[in-house]
Amino acid sequence: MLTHLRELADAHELLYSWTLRDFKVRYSQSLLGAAWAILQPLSLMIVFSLIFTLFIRVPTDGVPYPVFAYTALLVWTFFANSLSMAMPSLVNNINLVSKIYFPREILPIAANLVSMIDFVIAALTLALLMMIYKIAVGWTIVFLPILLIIQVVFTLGVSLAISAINVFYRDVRFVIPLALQIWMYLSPVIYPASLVPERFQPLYFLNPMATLIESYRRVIFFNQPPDWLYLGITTVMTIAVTIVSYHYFKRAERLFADLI
Amino acid sequence: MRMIEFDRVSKAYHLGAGQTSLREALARQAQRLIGRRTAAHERQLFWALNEVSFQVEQGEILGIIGHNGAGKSTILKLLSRVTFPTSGRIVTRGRMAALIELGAGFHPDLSGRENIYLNGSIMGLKKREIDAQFANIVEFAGLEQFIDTPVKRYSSGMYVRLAFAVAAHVRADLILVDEVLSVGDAAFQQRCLTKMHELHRDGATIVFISHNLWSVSTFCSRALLLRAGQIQAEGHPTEVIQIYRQQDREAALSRLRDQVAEGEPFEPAHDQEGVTPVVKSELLNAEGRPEQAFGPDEALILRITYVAPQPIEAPAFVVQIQRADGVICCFIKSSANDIRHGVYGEGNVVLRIDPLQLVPDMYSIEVRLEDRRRALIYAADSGNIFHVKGYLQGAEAGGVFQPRVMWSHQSHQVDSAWHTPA
Repeated sequence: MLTHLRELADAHELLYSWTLRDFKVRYSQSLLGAAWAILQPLSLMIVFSLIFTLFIRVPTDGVPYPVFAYTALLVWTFFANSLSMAMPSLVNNINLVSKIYFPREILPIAANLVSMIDFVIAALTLALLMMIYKIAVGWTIVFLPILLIIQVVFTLGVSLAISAINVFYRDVRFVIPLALQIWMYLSPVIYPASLVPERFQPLYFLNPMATLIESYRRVIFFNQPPDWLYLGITTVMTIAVTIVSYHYFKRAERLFADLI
Repeated sequence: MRMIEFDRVSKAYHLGAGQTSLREALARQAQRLIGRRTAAHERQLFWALNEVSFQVEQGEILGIIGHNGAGKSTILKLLSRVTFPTSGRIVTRGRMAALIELGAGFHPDLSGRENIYLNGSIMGLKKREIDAQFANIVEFAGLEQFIDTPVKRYSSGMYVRLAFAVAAHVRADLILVDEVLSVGDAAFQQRCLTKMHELHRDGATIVFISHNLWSVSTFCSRALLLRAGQIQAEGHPTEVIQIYRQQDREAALSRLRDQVAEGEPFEPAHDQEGVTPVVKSELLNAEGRPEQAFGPDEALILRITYVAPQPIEAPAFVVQIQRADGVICCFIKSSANDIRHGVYGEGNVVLRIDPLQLVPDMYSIEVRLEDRRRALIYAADSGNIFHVKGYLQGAEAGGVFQPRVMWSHQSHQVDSAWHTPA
């Protein structure tokens, strides 16, 4: 594991170039360019706001619905896009993977980094929205970096496993979009977690994305620290998932060139 | 210093497509669980390499030749750590650069400049190293004007030039080259070879795979011949290439024989009574003894024996010599002056080819008895094979015809100083 990490550290310049390449390629020849990073969560936010404030009233504990939903959509879009981009990252670069050696995790990690750039751009819009709605943040905002780190590491862990599995079973391509859709409804993206019946909550918060999104809302809107028990469980799960995934990835890596 | 050590390396691939569907995999697991799966059901293995051992010392240029599927590329893939051996041990030393899939890391939408940095870092160069080499790379590729153009607008030649330029500027101790010289125009190929010589002079060890035997023989210091995943010959490139060519010819010849044997069955024309004439041929040397190997300057005598139960009034004997690679070298047909009277009963005809004047290689000879006036073949014999002795140069270098030649040289120099060493 350590040798792998050292090798990865040696290849940081490749990671940088590859991320830059992915980012440039992603928006080259697209009319709106990086604006898509904002448009994607923004348009969903508008649709959800219409549905859940006009048609069905969803309680948001006093937070304006658009900001309430946009926060979760930001987190969710980063997660979902990272996965969707990381998943085919190895298979799409057959030529490279089967001909030249470099630490292969560069490819899914670069996919995550690109989606992180999108995330940062979209997050700036959240700041703007909050100013428009005149929402002030409290001291609990200091917990934000912890949440970000857990979120990024968790996303990376899942991405590594999915990109490797996709080399062996192309079914993953069909499974992931479906799984992401279901997963989104199982996370408090369009509704507050408080709607989940009390007795189901321990089960509900075993979903790291649910804990993360709920924690973001607490530290941003309600000036409350995260629920440390649930966040602790999520952290442990994140570390476990990432270590297992990376280990699996490096073992599977030896077979990539033979199978792709 | 030993740069590469291959110790009894084998590599097996599963035949057929890889597991690409979860359903298949689940079905397989289920079968295994209920014990229905036996060893016979396991997918077939293909041994791309079988117990291959060799070493490469520092400063060598090793050429690897062999047919497609002999395992050449597998060796490079193993060396570059793209894939791993099924058994055996591989040790390499020093920094490695693979000129294998040129431009594999290029992205068409990015400019030449961006792709240089991207490809360089895939090959393990640091940014400052690329900065330092950037001007050289661009100059070598000859793309100064187009360096900020997306590479999708490049011609394929420009593309390859840029890719080679990047790869050639990696300061590597060990360089793996796969068929890159088969692309680009002749002038560029020459520059690539020159560049590789330069890298070699600077101390690089090179492993070179090519179908171009000429470049292997001129460039490499040692060669390996692979066949069906095993090393068949190893040594000086000229000798190894000789063996390779020999095998090549023998294989082609046996294919040729099979074609003759299995091909369209020869339907001899029957004469009125339905009795078929027969011809047999025999190869003799100048002394009249049966022979199968001839020098290009020697005589080849073909003695054709016939049995013709009915008279053939206008017979023509046709002799066709075909080289192992299928090239028809000559077509000799007797005229009315050569065979003055008809053929009837038993007899023989002698054709003397003197000197033979064919390049060293293997040939098959076909003899037919035809009717000169009608398009009719009475009999044929195509079993004879002969060999022309000498250094096997191969079709691309040797041609077909080896005339007896003589050189002469006359010089009328006004100023004799220019060519005499001072």
